[in-house]
Amino acid sequence: MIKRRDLCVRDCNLERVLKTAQILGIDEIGVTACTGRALENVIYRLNTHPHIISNYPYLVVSNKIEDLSSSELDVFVVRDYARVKHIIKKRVRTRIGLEVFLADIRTANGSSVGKWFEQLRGLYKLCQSIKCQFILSSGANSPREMIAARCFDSILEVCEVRPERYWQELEEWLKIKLGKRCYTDVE
Amino acid sequence: MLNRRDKRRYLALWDSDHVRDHHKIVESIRKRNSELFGQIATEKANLRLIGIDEKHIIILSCKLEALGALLSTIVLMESPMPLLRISGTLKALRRFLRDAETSILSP
Repeated sequence: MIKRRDLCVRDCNLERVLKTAQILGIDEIGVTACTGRALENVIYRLNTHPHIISNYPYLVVSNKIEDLSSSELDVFVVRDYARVKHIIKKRVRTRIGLEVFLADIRTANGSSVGKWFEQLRGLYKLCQSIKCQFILSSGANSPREMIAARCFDSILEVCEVRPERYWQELEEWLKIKLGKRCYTDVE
Repeated sequence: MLNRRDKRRYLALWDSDHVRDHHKIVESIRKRNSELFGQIATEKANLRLIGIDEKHIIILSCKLEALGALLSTIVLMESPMPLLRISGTLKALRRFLRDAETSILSP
């Protein structure tokens, strides 16, 4: 069975976020609020690797272009693809995740959304060619901004990405990224 | 010749802003859909407001072939409206809303 994931939810109330995710058909979430405890269906987003051995799954995330070639980085957040496209091509390491937030485009007008979709198609193709992982996340600041699994599928279809393939690739990529680290039991 | 009705889908959306005038919500979805997918696609979708319940859940219906575009539009609305459920029948949707643990969505 395919697991659907939203790798960026920026709300501190994990219980509320997890309940909402369940209602919306999201199987696993990435959160910025790190409790330091392993929780089922939660991946933490950190700025750096933790100093001590952790028992929770995490990804090191940055949106700073200078961090792009860092060996520690797991996910680079692409905020302005047109501006960073050439830098990504030159400096990115393979197997890194390139993430885009849907929250960034909510307030944009129709023409900007159209251009954004075109950029998303371009980013997906680029990810395929440089062996990086394309990641589409909600970037939600609260449960009300979270996105249902079925809506993710529709957005992916508009970007000409087959949803099943996307979720499968994301799962395999996470398995490699998180599998490298050592964890103890999840609560 | 058979006169077949168009297949429709029923959508439950959470009105997180608790807007009182729900016709305004439908109008704003229509407007955003036209902006993104065009006026013809919006008219073809035949979007209808079915109702609203006390948990601020809006029920809409649209033609099946326009569902993908409508779901993308909902994601790209300025005021967020998470999609809770899609169903082929109103009865099944209402049963889900009655049974499901949606208390998290209540104010």
